[in-house]
Amino acid sequence: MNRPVVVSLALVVNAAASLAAQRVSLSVQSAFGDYREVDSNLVYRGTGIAGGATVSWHKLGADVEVTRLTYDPHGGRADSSFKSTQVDVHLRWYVANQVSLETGYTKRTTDPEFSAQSMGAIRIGARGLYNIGPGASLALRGNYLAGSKFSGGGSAGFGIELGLGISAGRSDGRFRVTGDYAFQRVNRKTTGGGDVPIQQSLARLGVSVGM
Amino acid sequence: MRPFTWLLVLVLAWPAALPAQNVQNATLRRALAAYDNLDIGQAITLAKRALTERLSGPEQARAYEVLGFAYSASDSLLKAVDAFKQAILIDPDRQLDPAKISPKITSSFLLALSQVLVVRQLQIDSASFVGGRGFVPIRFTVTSPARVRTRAVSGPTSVPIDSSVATGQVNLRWQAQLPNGDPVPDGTYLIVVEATAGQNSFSAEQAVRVTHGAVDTLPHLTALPGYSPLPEEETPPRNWTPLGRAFLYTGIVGAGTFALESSSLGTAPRRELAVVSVGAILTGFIMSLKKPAPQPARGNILYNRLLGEQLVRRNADIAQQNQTLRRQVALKVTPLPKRTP
Repeated sequence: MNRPVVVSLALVVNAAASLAAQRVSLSVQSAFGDYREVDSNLVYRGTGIAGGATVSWHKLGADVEVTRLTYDPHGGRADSSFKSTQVDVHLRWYVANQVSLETGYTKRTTDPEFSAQSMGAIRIGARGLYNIGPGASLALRGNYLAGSKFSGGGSAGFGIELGLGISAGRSDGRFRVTGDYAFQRVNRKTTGGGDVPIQQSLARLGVSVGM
Repeated sequence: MRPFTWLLVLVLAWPAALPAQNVQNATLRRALAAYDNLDIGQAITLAKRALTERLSGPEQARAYEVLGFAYSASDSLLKAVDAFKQAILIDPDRQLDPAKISPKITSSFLLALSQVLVVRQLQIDSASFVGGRGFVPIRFTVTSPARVRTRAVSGPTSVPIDSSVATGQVNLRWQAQLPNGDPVPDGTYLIVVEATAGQNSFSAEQAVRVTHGAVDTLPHLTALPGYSPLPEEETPPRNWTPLGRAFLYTGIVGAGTFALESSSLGTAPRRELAVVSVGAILTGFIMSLKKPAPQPARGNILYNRLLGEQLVRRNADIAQQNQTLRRQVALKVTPLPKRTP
C-alpha cells in the first residue's frame, strides 16, 4: 500500500477517534470485477478483497476504500495477470433530501507496472442515500472523473463513474451487510491522438461494523 | 260598660292563656291565673303587688306584660302602653305573636315600642371566609331614630364596624378587619350596638368567636384537564415503497451502465451489476414485507411540547396563587349563645 493511502486512512481514523458527535464504521469486503481496455480483446476478470472506513460528522462525511484485485485474462489477446490496487476517497457535504455533494479522488495502480493502465482522477458528483427500512439503505452515486492521468501518458476528456450501494443490518448501524457496485468508464486520449476506452465494473460484498 | 260589652272585649282581646310555668313568684303566678280566669281587676292588683316583690328580670318583664294585657283589656290604653314600655326596656327582644294576640293588645305593644329607644333582635350569622374577601352579616332593629354605633370589642381592642343614624331594620356587613386591613386576631368579641337619641341611649351586644385557619392551597396539576399527550411515534402503514425504490435505483444504475458501456469493448457480463442489483431488490422486498419502524410524529411532539409548556405555566401560576393563599387567613365567626340574665 502506498503512502497516500496510509496517510488518508490514518487521517480518517484519527479524525473519527477525536470527534465526539461522529459515526465511524469499518468494512471488510470480498471484491470481484471486470476490466476492459482498448477493445474487446483485452478483457480481465478478477477477484480480491477490499476494506474501507467511513466517518460522518454532522453534514460532513468521508469514505476511504481500498480494493485489491488480481485480474486474470479472460479471452482475447490478454495473456498475463496483474494485480490492481484501487484507492477511492469520497468527501461529502450533505445538502438536502438525503443528497450530498461529493468530491475526492480515485487512483488505480497495477502490478506489474504497465500490464494495464494505472490511472488517477479527481471525482466530482453527488450521492443520494435513502433509508428503505429499519437498518437498510440504498445509495446511488454519480461522479464525473476529472483531470485523469495515466501511467501510459495521455489524458481523458470524458470519465464517469456510477455507483449503487446497499446495506442492511442493525438499525443502530453496529453491524451491517454491505454491497457496492461501481462502474467506471474513461476515454483516454493518447499523446498520439487515439481514443482508448477503459472500463471497469467492480462489485464488493462484505460486512461493516459501526462504532 | 255593660256586662255583654265586657265579655265581647275580653273574647276579642284575650291572648292565648298566659303560661304560668317557670314563674317562681307566687303573686305573679296568681296574677297570671287571675288573668286567665278573666278576673282583670284581680290580675292588675296582683301584678302590681308582684312588682313590689323581689322578681328576676324575666319575671319583672312578665309582670309588666300581664299589666299591659290587663290594661288593654280594660281599655286603659295609656297605662297599657306604659306597662309594655317597661316590659320592653327589661326584655327588648320580647315579641307578641299577632296570630294569637288581639289587634288591640298588639297595637298597644307597637305603640309602646315606638316610644322607647331599644335595639332589638340583634342577630349575627355564622360565617367562614378568607380575610378581606367576605363578611359577617349583622342584623338588628332600632325602635326609634337614633345615632347607632356598632363595634367589636375584645379586651382593650375596640374595632368600629359602623356608625350611622338609623331606625327600623339595620343590616351591616362586618369584614372582621382591623383599621389597617389585617384580619382581627383570634378570640372572643362582643358585637356592641349602641343607640343614642338625645338623653336616651340603649345598647345591645352579642358575643362571637373568631377563629383563624389556614386557607386551602391549590394542588399542582399533573395533566391539563381535557387534554392528554399524544404518542410521539407513529408506525406508518406497510407499503411497497422500499421495493419500488430498489427497482428505481437499480434501474437507473443499470440503464446508466448500458448507456455508458463502450461498444468497442464488447459486451460485459454485468455479473457485478446483477449481484448488487439482486441484493438491492431483495432487501427492498424484505423491507416492504417488514413492519415499518415507528417514525417520530412531529405534530404530536410539538403538541406535547406545547402541552408541557402550558402545564409548567399553569403550575407556576398555581404556585404563585398558593404563595398568596398561604399569606391569607381563613376566618370563622360563630355567634356564642346569649347569657340568660
